[in-house]
Amino acid sequence: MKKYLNLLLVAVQNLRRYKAKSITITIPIILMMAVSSFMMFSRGGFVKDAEMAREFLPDVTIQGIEAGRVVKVSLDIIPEIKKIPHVKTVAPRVWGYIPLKIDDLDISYTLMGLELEDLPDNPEFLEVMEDGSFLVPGDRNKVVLGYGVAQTLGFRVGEDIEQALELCTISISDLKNIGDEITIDDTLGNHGKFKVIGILKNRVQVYSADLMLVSNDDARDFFGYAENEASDILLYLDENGSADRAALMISQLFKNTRVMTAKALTNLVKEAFGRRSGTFSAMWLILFSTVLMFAWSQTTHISVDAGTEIGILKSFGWQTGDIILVKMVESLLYGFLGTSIGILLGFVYALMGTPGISGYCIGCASIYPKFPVPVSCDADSIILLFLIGVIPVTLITAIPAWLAGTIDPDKAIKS
Amino acid sequence: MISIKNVFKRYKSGKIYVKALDDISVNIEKGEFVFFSGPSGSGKSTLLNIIGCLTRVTSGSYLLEDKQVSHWPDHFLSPLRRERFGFIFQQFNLVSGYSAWENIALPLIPMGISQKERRKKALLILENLNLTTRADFMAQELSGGQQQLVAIGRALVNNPDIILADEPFSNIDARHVENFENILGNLKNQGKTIIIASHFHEPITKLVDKTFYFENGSISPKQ
Repeated sequence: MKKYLNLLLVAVQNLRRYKAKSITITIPIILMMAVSSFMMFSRGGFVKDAEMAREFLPDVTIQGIEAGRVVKVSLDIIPEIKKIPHVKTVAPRVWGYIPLKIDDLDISYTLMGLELEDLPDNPEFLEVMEDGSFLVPGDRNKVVLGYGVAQTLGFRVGEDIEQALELCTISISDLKNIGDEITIDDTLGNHGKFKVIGILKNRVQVYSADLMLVSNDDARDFFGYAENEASDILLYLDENGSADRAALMISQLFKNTRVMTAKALTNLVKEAFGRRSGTFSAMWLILFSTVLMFAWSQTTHISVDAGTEIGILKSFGWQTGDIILVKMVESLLYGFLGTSIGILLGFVYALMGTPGISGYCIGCASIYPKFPVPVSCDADSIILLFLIGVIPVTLITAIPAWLAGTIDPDKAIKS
Repeated sequence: MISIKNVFKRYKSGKIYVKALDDISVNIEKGEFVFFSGPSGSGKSTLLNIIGCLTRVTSGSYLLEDKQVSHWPDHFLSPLRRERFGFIFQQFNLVSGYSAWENIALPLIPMGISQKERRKKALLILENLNLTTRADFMAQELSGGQQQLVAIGRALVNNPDIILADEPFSNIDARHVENFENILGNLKNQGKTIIIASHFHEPITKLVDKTFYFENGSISPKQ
C-alpha cells in the first residue's frame, strides 16, 4: 500500500516538476473540452426548452394542406372533430410571422392568436408570467409579449436593466412599462395597435422569446383571416385520450390536413437542435477525433521523450507496472484538470450566450437577432464530458508507457 | 558469484543482426574488482548490461550465485536489480526535473519507503559524498563531477553488493577521478564486487584484481 501511495505522490509531483510539459498537454485539453462543453450545455438547453414547452403544447395540432403546402384551415371541420372520443377542447388558432425593421435590423416575431373563451382554466398559466397578467376572455387589442420581444422593444423586464438597454437602442428614461401601447407595422403592410398587459418568463426561451400573444379576433384582423378560418386547430384530450389515436382518426377523416402530436413536435425540435442535428453531430465527431488524435500524439511524445527515464527507473528496480501506473495517473490528472477547467470555461461561455457563434448555433431558427442560446447543465452531461476528456487520453497514453516499460532497460535508455 | 558461460549476444539493427558478444565466458568472485577494457563497440558495455540484468543473452548462460538468471521474466529481474546491483552510467543518467537527493532516492520509491525516510537516507549518502550543500539542486544545475557523485549515491542507496560502472571516468576531470578512486576503494574494503567498463587500455586504478580485454565482441588473450 505504501508503495502505491509513493507512486501516486510521484505522479502528482511530476505535474509540478514538469510545468512546461504539463501546460503544453493541459491547454489543448482545456480548449477542446471548453468547446465540447459549451456545445453540450447549449444542446442540452435546446432539448430542455423543447421538453418544458411540451407542457404547454396541445395534444394534437391540425393544419390545412393544399397541394402539399400548409394553408389556412377551415373551422367547418371542428364539429366532426369534437365527436372523436376523449376530446376535451377544440380551439382554433390564428398566427403568423410579422417581419419588422427596427433600428436597421430585420426582425421576425410570431404573433399568435388564442381562443380566449376556450383557454383551459389552468393555474399554470400564471406561472409563465414574468410580469403583468395573461389574456382573459373578452380581451381585445391587448398583447402579452415574449421575454425576448419585450427586451428588444425596450420594456422594463426583469431586474437587469443594463441587459435590457444592451438589447435595444433606447435610453433608460425611454424604457417602456406594462400598460404602454405598441404599434406594429410589419414590412408586409399589416398594421395593429396593442396595449401590453404582460410579459412571459424566459424559462421557455425557444418557444416564447419571439412570441406576441393576442386574442384570435385580433390576430384575424391583423392577418386578414375570414371568420371561419384559422392557421391551425388545437386539440386537447382528457386523461384517457390517446393523441396518436386521435391524430390517426383526424387524418383519415380529413385528407387535406396535416396532424401533429405534441410528442412529434417536441421530437422535431429536439432533433433539430439535438444530437442528430447535422452541425452538432459533425462538430462532435471532429472534436472527439481531435481528442483521440491529441491523445495519440501524446503517446509518440512519451515514447521518445520518456523512454530514457523509463529505462533508468527500470535499471534501479522499478517494475513495468510501477511505471505504467505513474504514467497513467499523470495522464489521468492532465485529463481531469484540463476537463474540469474546460467545462468551467465552456459553461461560462454558454452562460454568456456563446458570443460570436450564437447565430450559427441557432441556425435557421434565428428569427430574432437577440435570441439567447439556452443553457442546460446536468449530471449526465458532466459525466459524459469527463468520460470524453479523461478516458481516451488516459488509456491511449498507457500504450506507450507499457511499450517502453516492457522493453529491456538498456534499449529504453538508448531510445 | 558471477559465472558467464559461452554467451552470445546479437542485436537487430534494421534488417541485419549485429554480433555484440561472441562466445564469452567470464567468472567473477565476490569482492573482486574487475576491469573490462576495450575500444568502443567491443562488447564490454553489453556484457556489463547482461551482468546487471539490463538485457538478456541471445544464447549461453548467466549464473548469479548458481541461479540461472539469464532467462528470468522481467518481474523477477526488477527486484534483483533493485536489491543486488548499483549502476553508474557513462552519462550519469540523472532524471531531469528531480533534485540531487530525489535522484538518489529514486530506487527507494517502489520499496514503499516514505518521502521523509527517503530524504533522510539520501542526505546521509550526500554527506558521505561531501555534497550536502547541493541536496536540493536540480540535476541539471550540478557540475559534471557533482552529477557523477549523485549517480554514485543513487547506485549505493540500496546498499547493493555488486557495483557496475560504465565508462565512469569519461566525463569527469582529474580531481574527481581521484575522489572516485577513493570511493571505490572504500566500497572494495566493504566487500562489494565492483565491475568497471572503460575504453582505457590500462586499469586506471591499482584496486583492480582482474582485467578482461575486449575486441570485436570477444575477450582477447592479450593481457
